[in-house]
Amino acid sequence: MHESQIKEIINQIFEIEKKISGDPLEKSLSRNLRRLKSATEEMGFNFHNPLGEKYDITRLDCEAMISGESADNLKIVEVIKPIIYFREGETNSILQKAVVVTEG
Amino acid sequence: MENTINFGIDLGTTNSAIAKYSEGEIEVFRNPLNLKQTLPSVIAFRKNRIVIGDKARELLQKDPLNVVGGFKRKMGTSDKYFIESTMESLSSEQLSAYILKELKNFVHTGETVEAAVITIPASFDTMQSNATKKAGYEAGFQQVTLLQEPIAASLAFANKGNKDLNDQSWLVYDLGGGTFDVALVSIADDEMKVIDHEGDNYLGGTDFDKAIVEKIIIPHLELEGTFDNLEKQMKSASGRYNRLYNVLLFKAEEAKIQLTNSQTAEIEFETEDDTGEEIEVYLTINRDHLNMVLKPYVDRTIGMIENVLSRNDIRIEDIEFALMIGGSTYIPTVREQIAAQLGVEVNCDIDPTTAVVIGAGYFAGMKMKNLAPPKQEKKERNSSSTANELNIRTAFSKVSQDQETPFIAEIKGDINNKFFRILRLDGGFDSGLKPLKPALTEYLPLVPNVFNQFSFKIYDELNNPIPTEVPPIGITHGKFSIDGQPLPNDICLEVDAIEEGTTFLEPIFKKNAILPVKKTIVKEISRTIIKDSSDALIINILEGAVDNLPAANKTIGFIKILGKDLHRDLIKGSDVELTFEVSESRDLKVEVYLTLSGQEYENVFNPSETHIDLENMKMDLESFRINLLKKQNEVAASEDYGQAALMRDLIEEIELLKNRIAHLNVDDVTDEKYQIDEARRTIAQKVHRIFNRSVLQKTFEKYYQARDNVRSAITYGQSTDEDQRRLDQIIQSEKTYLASDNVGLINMKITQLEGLNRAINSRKEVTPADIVNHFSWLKIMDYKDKNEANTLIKKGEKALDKGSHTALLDVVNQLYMLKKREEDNDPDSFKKTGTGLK
Repeated sequence: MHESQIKEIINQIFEIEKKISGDPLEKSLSRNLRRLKSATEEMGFNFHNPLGEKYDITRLDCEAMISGESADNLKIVEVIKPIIYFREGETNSILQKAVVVTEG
Repeated sequence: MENTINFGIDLGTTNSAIAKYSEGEIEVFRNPLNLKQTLPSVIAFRKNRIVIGDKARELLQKDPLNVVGGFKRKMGTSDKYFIESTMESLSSEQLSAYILKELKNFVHTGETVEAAVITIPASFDTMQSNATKKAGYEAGFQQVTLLQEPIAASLAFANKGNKDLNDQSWLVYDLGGGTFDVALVSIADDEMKVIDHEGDNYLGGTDFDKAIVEKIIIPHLELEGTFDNLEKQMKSASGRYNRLYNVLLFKAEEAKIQLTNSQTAEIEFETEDDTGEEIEVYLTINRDHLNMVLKPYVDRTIGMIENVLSRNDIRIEDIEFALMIGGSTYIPTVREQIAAQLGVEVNCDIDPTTAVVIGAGYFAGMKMKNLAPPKQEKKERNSSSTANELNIRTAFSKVSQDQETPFIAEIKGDINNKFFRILRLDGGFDSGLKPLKPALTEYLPLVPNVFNQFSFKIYDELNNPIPTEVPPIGITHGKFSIDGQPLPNDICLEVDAIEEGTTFLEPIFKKNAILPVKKTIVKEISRTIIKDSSDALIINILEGAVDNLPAANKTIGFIKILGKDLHRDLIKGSDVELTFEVSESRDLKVEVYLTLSGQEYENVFNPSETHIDLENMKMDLESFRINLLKKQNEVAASEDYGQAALMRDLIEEIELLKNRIAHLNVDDVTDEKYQIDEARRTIAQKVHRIFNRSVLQKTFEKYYQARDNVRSAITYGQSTDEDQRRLDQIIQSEKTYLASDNVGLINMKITQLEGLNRAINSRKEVTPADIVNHFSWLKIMDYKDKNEANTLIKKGEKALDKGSHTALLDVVNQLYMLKKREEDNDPDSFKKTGTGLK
């Protein structure tokens, strides 16, 4: 499977997780999603949702759109795409930067 | 030493790039931080650090007092940019020098960029050109040669396929992310020059994204919900929908890119309207929508082209082609509208985003190096002479459980005009350039549960790296904490080896895996377990080498799900989802989910309390004893007295152990049961060795036979490349599994090989003689359902008499299925020893 296809699968898992969050479907689908995630993790791919984390311009793992009036004390308030890591042995690399919206 | 300049730089208003000419080829260098070939020409001065490129661009609109971009537009003017955080005013050339210095970092070859060709817009006057040169010198280049951007792009085009452009005129149409330029270029008397040009510094791809939001998405959203002045609420920083606006700009850009290759694109998002109503938007836009939105912008560019042509009294028929450069010329409607409205051939032969820097590179490869050291050289030499005198001591924690950890450095020596920069090697963190201080502290963000590596580098004022002795920074997050450590042994799951009527181990976590670890695996039910029956599904998790016999390893987790506890029958082949988690303090958590019945079980096993099931232990010992007694007779018959004596001693040992178990109190508080378990495992290993010797020999023979059969089928049968690939895959780690002495594992490989052999042979045409031979073989097999077998055999004999091979083949298939069904459904074959998992 190509890296781009795995990225697409992970992005869709992330999207589904986001969409069903708080929905009655969340409980019943979480197991299936976990299995999908576990399958991608087996292949060395992990993803991370940085929602709520602090943000500044030293963070290269996110591409940010800064909304609101302040550019200081930024927090990630919305995540459009997650950070995807690829791990091979001891080496960890970022395959996809998160796309996020931040607010001060 | 090379005597040509070789380095070409596109110092753009929106983006910049650097390339090198070498032996007729151009390499466009990539940003080591994100592997992009371009660097946004934006600089942020924030909190005592300088950050250049993508990260700075994010803040461009929000923090205009500290973040600057587009400064090329003011090159050669007295206008300066006041930076609030540093309280200094910087000119365009000073700011451009920062960009040029950052581009030096892209050069991965380690070369020092002494001279460069830098491109400038065709519109630059002498003052602006000189200012660009000054920026180059300020960045430490000793020679700067300028080249007009349209000429650079044309050079890139001409060099691609050695095109002859003599006595021709063409347009260079440059539509980038934020600016537009058109130039009329021609070659006359062997000289390529820009005849005329026009441009708009505020027209580009980002305007298109905004237009998609304003003209398509907002009107759609207004129809779906109740909004009061939605556009204003989006664009105002304090507006209710400002966050949504940013999301939509991203979605619009994605859709725009998608429409380059597809006819339609989906835009999908959720929001609330003014009344708090949730709105889910699924909007499909097509190329017609995009064309409609972009038309006014493209028309503006066409107007400028017409101006250039009419000013120079040139008819469009005299133009050979319009060379498309700049990222926004990827958009099909831009190309189509130019071709349709102007009636000119649109040429998209070169990569529009790198055309200018590639052309600059070609030019640099032709220009002789003539280094005329500017004043900076003296400074540079001074700084490098003091560089070696820096004495640096660093301190950081090699392990951390926190999201970020402090890095401390103490620097002695001349730190004036020097900077440091820390990068995380996965590309996730860049401290930016920060002034060097005698003592500095930087907080390093850590990726959870991995080994994080950082580099710490020092630069002089020209952004040239200063060699230091600082070793790489390696910090492990969340590992090796107080109790956490690498796993000392494999952790395995006991599963059934159906054909052998035994069980074997499958790895869950391998030895030396760093704690904590978590894994979900899905297994199948190996036999149907009937609801309310006395049968049970056993999840047995053991610690020890995966190649051992299960009984020789130590059980660290054991879950027994009885038939009476089931909500419905567990049908053979249905899934069991098992999640295993070992914490840093070695707690084993097991979650079992039976997909068919939807039942969940969860158990946490504390390793300080080894789970010993005395009943299970007794069963194991009894099974060893019975098998040894049987084997003892065989051995005695073959007069292998040494082996017989060994077995006799072992049986005695088992009896003694059984006796100890019998005398053990159920609530025994001593460590007696652990000692017994240890003794049981030693016995298991001895039994394993005795039985394994002969079984293993037979298994090896069977394995080699199965492997040779496949090889022969591949050589002589109807095989495909896929068959060979599959064989290679099966026997990939042959050495390891044959050396493991694990019969179950080898048998699994035999099953795979036999399956492959069958698949290859099934493609072979079956001859009547094959059918008759197969029938003869099936006739002499034993069947539990003798009646059904006899009926089929009689039917087959009749077919044989009549010479009906089709009918005989049918019988052969039915007999084969009957045999298989009986093997699969044998109720006694496994129930007593199996786990119910495969």
